Formats: sequence, structure tokens, C-alpha cells
Amino acid sequence: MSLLEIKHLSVQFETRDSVIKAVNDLDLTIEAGQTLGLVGETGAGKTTTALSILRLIQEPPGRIKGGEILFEGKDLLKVSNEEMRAIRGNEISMIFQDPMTALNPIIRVGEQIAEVIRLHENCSKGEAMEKALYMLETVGIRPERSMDYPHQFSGGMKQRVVIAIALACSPKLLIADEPTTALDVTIQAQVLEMMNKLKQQFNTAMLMITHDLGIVAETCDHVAIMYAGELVEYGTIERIFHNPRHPYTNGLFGAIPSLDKDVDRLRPIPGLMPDPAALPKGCKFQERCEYACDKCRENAQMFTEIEPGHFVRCERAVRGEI
Amino acid sequence: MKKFNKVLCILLALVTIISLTACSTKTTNPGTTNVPAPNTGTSSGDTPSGVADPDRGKVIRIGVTDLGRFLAGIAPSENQSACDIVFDTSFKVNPTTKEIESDYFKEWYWEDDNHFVCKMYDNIYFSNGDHATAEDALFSYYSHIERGSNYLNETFIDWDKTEIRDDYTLVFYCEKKNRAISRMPIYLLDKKWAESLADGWADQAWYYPVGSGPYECVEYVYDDHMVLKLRDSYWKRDISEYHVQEYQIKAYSDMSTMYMELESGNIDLCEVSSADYSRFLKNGSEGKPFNVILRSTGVVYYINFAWLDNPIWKNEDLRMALAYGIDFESLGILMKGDTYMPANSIIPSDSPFYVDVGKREYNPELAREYLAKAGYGPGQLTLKATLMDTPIYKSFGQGIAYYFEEMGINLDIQYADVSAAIANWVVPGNNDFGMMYSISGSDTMSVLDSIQQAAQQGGVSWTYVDDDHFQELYGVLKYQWEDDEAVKKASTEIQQYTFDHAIILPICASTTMIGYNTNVLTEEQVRGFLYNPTIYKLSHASITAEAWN
Amino acid sequence: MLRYILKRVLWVIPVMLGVVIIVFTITYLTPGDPVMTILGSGYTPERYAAKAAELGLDKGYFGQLVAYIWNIITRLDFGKSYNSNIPIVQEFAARYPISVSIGLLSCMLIAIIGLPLGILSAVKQYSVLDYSLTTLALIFAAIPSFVLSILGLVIFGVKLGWLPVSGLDSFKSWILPVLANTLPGVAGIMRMTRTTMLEVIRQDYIRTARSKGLKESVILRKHALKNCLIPLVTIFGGMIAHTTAGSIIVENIFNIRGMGTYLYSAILARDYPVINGCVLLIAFVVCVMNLLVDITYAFIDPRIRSQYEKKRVTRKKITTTKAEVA
Repeated sequence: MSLLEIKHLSVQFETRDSVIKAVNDLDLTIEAGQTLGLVGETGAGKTTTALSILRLIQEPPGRIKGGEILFEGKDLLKVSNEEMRAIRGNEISMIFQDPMTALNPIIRVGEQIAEVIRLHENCSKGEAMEKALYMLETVGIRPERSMDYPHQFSGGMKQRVVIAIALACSPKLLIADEPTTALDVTIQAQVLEMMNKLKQQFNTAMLMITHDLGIVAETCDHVAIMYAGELVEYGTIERIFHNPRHPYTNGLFGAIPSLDKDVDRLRPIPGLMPDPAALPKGCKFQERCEYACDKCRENAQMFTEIEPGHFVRCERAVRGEI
Repeated sequence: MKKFNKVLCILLALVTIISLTACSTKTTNPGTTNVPAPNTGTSSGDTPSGVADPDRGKVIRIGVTDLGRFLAGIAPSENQSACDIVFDTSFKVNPTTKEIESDYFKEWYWEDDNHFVCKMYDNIYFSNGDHATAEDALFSYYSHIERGSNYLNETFIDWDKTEIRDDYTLVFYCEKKNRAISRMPIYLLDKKWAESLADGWADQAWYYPVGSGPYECVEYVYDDHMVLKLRDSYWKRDISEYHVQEYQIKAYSDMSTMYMELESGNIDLCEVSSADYSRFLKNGSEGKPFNVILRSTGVVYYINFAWLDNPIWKNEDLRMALAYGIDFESLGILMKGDTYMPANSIIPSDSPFYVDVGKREYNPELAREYLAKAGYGPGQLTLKATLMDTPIYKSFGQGIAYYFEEMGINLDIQYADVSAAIANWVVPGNNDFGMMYSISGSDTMSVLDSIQQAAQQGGVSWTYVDDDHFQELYGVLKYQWEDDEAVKKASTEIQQYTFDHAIILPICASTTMIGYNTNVLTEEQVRGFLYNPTIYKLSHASITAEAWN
Repeated sequence: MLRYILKRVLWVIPVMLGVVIIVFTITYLTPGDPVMTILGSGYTPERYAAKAAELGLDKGYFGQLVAYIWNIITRLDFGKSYNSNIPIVQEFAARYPISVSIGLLSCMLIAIIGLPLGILSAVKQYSVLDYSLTTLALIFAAIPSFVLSILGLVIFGVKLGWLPVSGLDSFKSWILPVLANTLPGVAGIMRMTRTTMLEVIRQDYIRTARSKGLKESVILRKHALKNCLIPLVTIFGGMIAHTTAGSIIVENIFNIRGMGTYLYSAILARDYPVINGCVLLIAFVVCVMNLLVDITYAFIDPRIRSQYEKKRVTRKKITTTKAEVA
């Protein structure tokens, strides 16, 4: 049994005059201790997927239309609110994109960490605080600073605090939603390195959401490429990096500057992601795809296994035409 | 959005229900109070005048908008805080007999053409125990002059020659004989007390004055209320003659609150706005515990002709044409609505000198005949006037325009705001006629005051009556002293003469409304209370014993 | 922190001094002879001179100004009313407690009713409850308090006879004036609370709190409420300052002998010493409330607090980063 198994997940945002299909029929699997990278452009539905796992989608306007999210065999979409609260922060926790706003500005950081420990670990205030101090030390912050407020920390240190909160209860799954986007590059590296280390130390599985393939290469075992609410390609890191099959994945690699290859210029993917309120018929990527044919415009594409563990949602790739 | 509308509907329904229940209790209230009490044999509930309850009206609660202060102003009319029951007054008119009386002078007469002798009672005591002498009386008169009042100017008193003849006799020396001196209400002050106050005058005299009257101010809370209590003894009368033991006078900064207190029975008496309460005049109290009466304010509205500015008014036929050509009752109703009160003389009906001289029937035919006789065919006469842009003047202008058109007189009316209108009025020649109202005078001076503007030059140019006989009669009123009968005759004659020759055309009386608690007071009692509602005349009411029994 | 508070307290002095000077100058320039008014019937030239000297009116502008300020500081003596000749401070002593009681009672009610309703409305956004509450708030905010007062008087005072119409004699008589003061305020605070609360619960740190598995009630109480209070404190401070200064409208309608009626009748009568006294008192209360608001701010919000402790913080920051680098 996988640690997390998402089956046919569909999430919509319903406003007065339109329905935005943020996630469509998504399947994902994460094994215990493994790291899955979820890659895609802004607006592809990565964060929505992550929030769905924790059931933190704002409702309304958001709504989980269908599917299952099986965590250790238990459907998270069906458990009671109470059970869900017991899972949040304890078995599954999340690191948010922007550390600047993710911490409550008027509560001392030590308390913000201790709070989650006290909640889930059934211990006294003092014990919780002791563990909070230990967590601070673990993420590289001197424990004395637990009495400080978030505004007294730099961005990178705030993200360390967020990570400390997320790992405080040794969760089985850690969802990291672009944990380094808001940070300087040097700090990014420090934070990533620390996360990798801690992941091993706590033996935590991780869902790493990012649009940065470099980070994926550094941290992940598997990669899922997401586009317009769907997975377009999934496979082990080696397969995806060495043999990307979907034109979008290829496009992503083309958009990354590389030092060791002699490329005249970057090849950004032309066009924009389709309006999620009015998705095209057939392949969602067709409008930007240089290989698109009439069939792509007609038929919905199937997510097909082209080699063991390597799935692609592109008819032409499956047929080997690309 | 739909949800929102539903909520709105529910809310509206709720509000309606609340207001309906609030209104429906109003209609059920009288029903429950009408249920006769089982133990009372007499039908005391049916007669609102109430003979049974001896305590009824022992405490009278009066609502006012300004509490006023004692002895703060320079003229008696400014000393409105119940001064007339705290102090004794030199001269005043008995509203019933209409004779002049004095509280503290036993007798008064002209010794010769200059000396006016006033003899005081010898047993006057102030509330602090001081014994009053002529010294105090002179001080009381003189203090007006000290305070910069020109109030006594018309009495022509020469203070240097005025003397105290003995302990209780005061002799005024006047430059000429006049009626005014025996018409001036002057409160008797305790000289010793006043001088002991020194510069603490305002602290004491304004709130807790020492007077020789039947009541005493025992509690004064600035801006809030005062309590006047009947004293243990009063030098002049047996205090058992006074029925009201206590007056509680309460100030309300907002008039509508005062009206609500009247309606819920928390005050017994107050002036009410005619706009809000005039319907009670027609419909009665409708089972509510209060009612209203309409009173004249001692002011009459009338049409003046600009005698000096435009000689055409010397022609009596022209004046008669207007007297017949205007329906004064309709005009009055147009101006005053439900609170219309006819004015059948140029002086107010509650003046002791008032004579009902009758009225002319509206007759446009006759008016046109008079107009022709005066030499004006239709459209040949144009009259101009400037009126204030206040509601009452506007109604007047509207009405007069109609009657002038009926008569075939061209009318040129301009409206201006109050100050601009007055600026226009004081310039001679701007107006051919106008609407003026008599000055609200003190009760002793009514004839003189009411027609003062008509009889004296200066001020507004179009009010002066340039008619020899009219001026002659006014002279008698002012300076005739030998013969009291002659004065009465002259005041009757001046009213009759004014009517007969259409010197001034009275339209209607200015009115005010008094609301009172029918459980405490009867209409007769209320009418006895206030001679002039701007001044509480409480003394009379509290001793008219027959009204209480 | 203490230094900051002290600094702010000291700032009140020049502000008040400015108000005193403006207020005094206006009175000085208006015509009228207070000595004459006070002496009344007891006027003699000697007494006039003596009284003028006693009141300090024989000195020039600066002399009088200094005397005025000196009397206020040393003896709390604001002078006497021209109108009633009663010492102003005596009237303040009688009236201000009444206005303050009504004002504080109203503010308390506003907080007790307005805050929870606003929070409820925000938490249950788009529900029927939210719509009803916001509509009600809109209605009450749109109805001026004098209309509410009169409506309340007519319905409960006159028609039903449940409550007294005017005065403050019994417990019952407090109900209408306090409500008339409260309801529009409740509406305002409720709408304000709702808006800020909605803003706060959309913040990332609330999502973080949710991701920790905290209960909604804990999130509201511990994480949202305090953050939501910061903008509300400003509004509340102003509200307390102006309601305790006495509502002219409500006090006049209910015939309450408070600061509102005092100021109102003084304005009508051009009773300058009283107007001045009232203005000074109001200015003082506003100053004090602003001061309290700022201090409260600092207590609620550590970001603001640290601004006042800037020096200490920056020094500390340098040392810590050094330590971490090492």
C-alpha cells in the first residue's frame, strides 16, 4: 500500500458566472519515504492539489468534485473534520510558499512551534516548548530566539521556522509548496539542503511542489509534470530527465538555461496556459504544441504507460511520433 | 442575490409587525383605563375635572425650554423665572377684574403734577425675615436704572428729586404727569440683602433670590429644574388660600421630549407646538390624559397703510375698499390654520382695555364701489410692498394677491429675508402698505404698547398713522391723568375709531397652545395660569381658589 | 517602551497648549463685558475695577492668557459661565461623570455586541445569517441616532409606557439613551470587524494555523482575533473619546444633564468660557485616548512595539546574525 494515493481527483472553483476547473481527474502516488516532485507553471493546479490533500481549499468558492485521496488506505475526503484535524500537522504537514506571511506576526515563534506539538503529542506546555526549542536548533536557529517575533527574522530564517513547525510532529508526509521561491538563491540552497537532511532524519515522504526543475533534480525520486489541472507526464527522475516525452516537458527543459550545452538562445514555450474556465476540447496543450495535429484537437488524451513507471498524456508521444 | 432579497423581505415584515404592535397598544390603552374601578361608588373616572381628590394639583410640574434666571435681565419681562410668585409686584392688572392692583403699595396718587405718592404696607417681610421699608422700594426701582435699563424712561422720573417721605411712603418726582409709572411692574427687592451680595449678585440673586412673595425657590439646578415651594407664611395673605404647594419647573433642551413627557403624564403643563397639536383643538383629547388650549399671545397681526409715504391713504374710501375687499377670516385661516383666532380690535382680546368693535362682512361688490368712489377704476391703482420670506408673510402675500386681483388693484410684492426686509422697511417710500404685528406688551400697558408703532414716528416708516384724531386719542391714553374714566373712554374710542374709519386693518391674533395634564388640571385652571405664556404668571392661578374647588 | 510612553505623554503638553491658545484668543477677540454681566445690579465703578482685577481682566492679552493657563493648571479653574455664573469646573464635576458613564456603557455594549456579531458574520460569510446581520447593520448605520432616539421614545416611552421619557432617575431611564448611543456604533463596529476579520482569515498564517490541525475556534481566538483588533483599536479609541465627551443629540433628546447639553446650550448662548472649557476637555480626552490607542497598539502588535525599541533590536539583530554566520 502506498502512503498516499490520489485517484481521479477533480477540484473546481465556482464563481457567480464561471466554473474554473483547477484540477481534473488527477492520479498520484507517493510511497513512504519517497519524494515526488510536482512540476508545472503557475496556475497549473499544483497548490490546489496540495491543499486538497489537507482539505484546506476555501469553500466556497472551491469544491472537491470527486475522486479519492487515500492516505494509508483511508480516504481523507470522507473522514470527519475531527479526524482530519488530527492528521493535519501530525501525519501530513505543509510548508507554504511565502514564509513572510506564513507566520502569525503577533505570536512568538517558539509558541507557534510549540502549539502544534502540544496539540498532537499530548504533552505539557513545558515539554512542548522544550521540543520546540529542539526543533529550532534542528533547523539551525539558536533556541534563545524562540521568544522573538517573526518580523525579527529574515526570510530564510522564517522559512526555517515554518519547516520546524511542519516537521515538529515527525509527519509521514510533508507537502512543500514552492518552499524556496521567495528566498534568495544562496538561502535556497541552504534551505533545500536542510530539508533533504531532515527528510532523511525523520524518514518523511515529501510532495515537492515547484516550477524549478533544478530543485526537482536535487531532491526528488519521482516527477509528475502538471499542466492545466492534469498530469501530462510521470516517471522516475532519471526517465523524465533523460527521456522526456511530452512536448510540454520538453518545452520546460528547453526553457532552462544550461551551461554545458551550447544553445544559442532559450526556447520559451510560446503562448499561455488556457483559461481554466474554458478549457479546450481534446489535448489541453494543443494550442502551444508544435506537434499538435487534428486528432489532438478532437480527442481527449489518455494517460498512458509507455514504459514501466513512465506515463505520458500525448497520443503522438505514445505512438512514438515525437 | 435572491437570498439577500428574501432576507430583506423578512426584515421588512418584522419591522412592520413591530410598528403595528406598537400602534395597536395605543388603541387598546383607553379601553383598559375605561374599565370602572369596582370599589368607587361615585363615577370619578368619568368626570375629568375631578372634584374628589383634594391633593390634585398640589404639585404642578411645568415644562419649559429655558429655565431662565431670577433678576438677571434689565427689564421685568426678562426676569421670567416665576418672579411674580417669589416677589411682590408694584403694579399689575387683575386678569379677572381688569383693575390695576399693587402687591406692596397700599395706595398711590398724584399729589400734584409732578409728585407721585406711593404708600406701602407696613407689615411686609422678606423671606429672610427683613422688614421692608420705602428704602427697599426705592432701591427696587433704582436698581433698574443701575442695570442700564431704559425701561423706566417713559415715566420721566427725576431721581434726584425723588424722596422717601417716611418709612413707608415713597414720592417719585416726575417731570410730567404720566400713566406709565403706575403701569410698571417692579419687583420689591431687599436692599440690605442685595447690597450684602456685593459682587456675588449673580450667584445668589439669579438662583435663590430673597423676595417677599408667597413662594420661595428652594432648589435650582442650572439647565435642569427648579422647585418653588409655598412659604410657611406670607405677609399679605393667609397661605391656606394658596392651593398649589409646589411648582416644579423642568427645563427641556429638546421640545419634542417635553411633548412626550406631557403625553406620558410626567409634566402637567407646557407650551406645545401648534403644528403638532392643533388637531386636538378639533378632535379633543381622544381619551389621552392630556389636552390643549389655544391662547392669544397678546399680539395682533394687522395691515398698515403707509400714511406718511403715500398720501393716497388719507382717502377714507380707498381704505374702506380694502376693509371690505379682504376676507379677513379666510386670510387669517390661510396664515394660521387651525390656530386661527379672530382679532376684532387692534389690541389683543385679553387686554383689560379690549373692546369688541365687530367686523365687516366680506363684500367685494362694495369694495369695488368704494374703489370707484375713491377714483380708481380696475387696474388703475398699483400698490407695492416688501414682505419677509417667512411662512406667515408668504401666506399673507398669497392671500392678499388674490383679494387685490378681485378688486382690480395691481400688486407689486417682493420677498426678502428678514434683515433685508427690515432694511427695506426703514427707508421711507419703499412700501405702500405692509403687514405688522403689535409689540407684545406687558399686561398693564396693552393699549399703549399695541399701537405704539402706529402712534410714534421712527423705525419702520410705513407703520405710522398720520391721522389727527387717532394721534389725539393716543395722546389722551398716554398723558391724561386726572380722569381715569377719560382714559377708559379714550381707549374704547381709539379702537372704535380705528375700526370705523379703517385706520388699521386687524387680521387675526397670534396664538400659542398650552398642553396640560387633564388628570391634574382643568381647562379653567390652565386659563387662569398664564396671562402671557412667555412669562409664567403663576401667582394668580395658585390663589384662584374657586378654580380648585 | 517606558521612554516611548513618557515621550508621548509629554507630547500632550504642546498640543494642549496650542488648543488653549487658539481657544483663548477666540474668546479674547469676541465682544462682551463679563464683569458687567457678573455685577448686575451691584454695579459701581469701584466694584467694577475690583472685579476686573479679581478676574484678571485688567491685564493685557498675554497676561490674561498666562493667568488663564495658570488657573487651569494650578486650580483646575476654567472660569465661570457668563450665562449662569456657575464655575465651569463645578458643572464639569456634575456633568462629566454622567456623560462618561453613558459613553463607557455604550462603548462596552458596542464592543460586547458588535465584535462577536462582526466575527460571526465574517466566519459565516455568504450565509443567511451574514446577510441578515449586514443588512441590519446597514439599516442601523443609516438611521441617525436622533431618529432612533425619538422612535424609541415614541414606542417605548409614550405608546407602551415601559420606559421613562427623559432624565436619568432610575435604572430603566438609562436604557434608551444608552441604546440610542449604542446601536449606530454597533452597526459601525460590526461592519468594521467583519471587514477586517475577512481580511485576516484570508491571511496565509491562518492557513498555516489550519494546516497545524488547530480547531476553528482556537484559530479564531488565538490567531485571528488579536490581528483583527489592531485596526479596531483605533476606531474604538476615537469612539470612546467622542462618546464620553457626551452626545449632544442624545443628551438633548433625553434631557440628560451631561456634557452634550452643556456644550449645546453654551453654544446657543455664546457662553464662551463654557465653550472653551468644553473644547479643552474634549481635546484633552482625545489626546489621552490617542495616547492610549498608541500604547495599546504597541502591546498588541510586536512589530509596532519593536519600532519604538528600534535601537535595542537592531543591535541584537547584528549580534545574532553574527552568531548564526559563525
